Amino acid sequence: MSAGFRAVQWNRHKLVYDAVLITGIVLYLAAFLIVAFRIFPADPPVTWEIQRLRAFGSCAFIMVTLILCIGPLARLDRRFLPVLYNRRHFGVLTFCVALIHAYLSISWYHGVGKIDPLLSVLVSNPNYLSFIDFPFEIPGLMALLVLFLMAATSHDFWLAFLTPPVWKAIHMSVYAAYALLVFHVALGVMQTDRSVYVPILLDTALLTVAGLQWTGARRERPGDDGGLLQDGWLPVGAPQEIVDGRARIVTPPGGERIAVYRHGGVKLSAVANVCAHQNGPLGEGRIIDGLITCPWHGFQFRPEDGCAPPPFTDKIPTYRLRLDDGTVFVDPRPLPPGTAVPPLLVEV
Amino acid sequence: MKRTHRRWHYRIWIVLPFLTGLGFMMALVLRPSPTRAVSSTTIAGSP
Repeated sequence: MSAGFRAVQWNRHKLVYDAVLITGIVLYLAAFLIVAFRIFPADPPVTWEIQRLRAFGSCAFIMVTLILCIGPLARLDRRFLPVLYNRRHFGVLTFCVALIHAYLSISWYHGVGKIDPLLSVLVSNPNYLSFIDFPFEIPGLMALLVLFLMAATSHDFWLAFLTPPVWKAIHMSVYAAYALLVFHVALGVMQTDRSVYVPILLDTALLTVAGLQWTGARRERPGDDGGLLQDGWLPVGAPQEIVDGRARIVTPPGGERIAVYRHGGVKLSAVANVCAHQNGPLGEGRIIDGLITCPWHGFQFRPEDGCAPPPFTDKIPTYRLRLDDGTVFVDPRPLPPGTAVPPLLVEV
Repeated sequence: MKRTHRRWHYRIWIVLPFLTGLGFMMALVLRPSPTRAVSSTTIAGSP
């Protein structure tokens, strides 16, 4: 959070997460090479150097595919939230694997010529106006640059420096990177490798990611329609309909979503549904130790004033509540972040 | 996520799979025959 700089705020979850990731990468690379050399050896034989760079390349592609599935899966099923928690480490590791693939590829195919290897990538195949003969290394290189940009700005320092909306917009470029990677594989290995497995795997990956993203986005749409105001206030429902420690999310017409939390059994407080950290859905979190806890990365805010507990300084907007004839109403006009609002006491 | 982010997200994931899928199908259909299949990667400076 915003108390001070630390390179990585390690905790047990992150260590386990990273250990699982690294183990998975090592196992995948080993399995790829065993399959390539022992179980289904290529005919004519393919050199160790080429199989090695293919192992890293396919690993990076699978990792980006999995990363893009995490977001919608977490929206569709809360059990995937722990995978979302440390997604940035997943992204940085993906960049490292992709970088090794790029280094191995460029040094193998372009490293022994008379010109600079990187320049060779750009000029050795001049068919830039052709689709099928397009130099497939270029989209791969562009995707690598996007992954680098994301890995380099993944730290919370950059998140705070750039502000969450800008940071989020930059990191949405991973979608373009994925399209570039699909072209990289489709115009590269799919053209030379005649097996049916490459097109099937590529198509399956693309359809899975697109299907999950589309389903997740479609599920979110109705929530943005906004409810009808009554005398300028938005009805939330009966207090007892809100489970203690949880929230009900309501949307004012044309506005951001509001999370109305019940805490301490009989108190109701309303805050913005957008976390100050990464715009996570605060209303899908829960009360832990008396604090609203974001489901994405565990950032916490006091329900009464939207302030993070000391020493942290993050704040979110709060909203006024009133009870009228057994129904809770929220004033859709946000109060400045950190404004204290006495909780609405209810009988449930 | 903010409302604007959600809207862009929805639009992107309608357009992106369509364009990418189209490119994938073209790359699949236009694949050269096995005898003509030559990688665009060549060793720079080689004859």
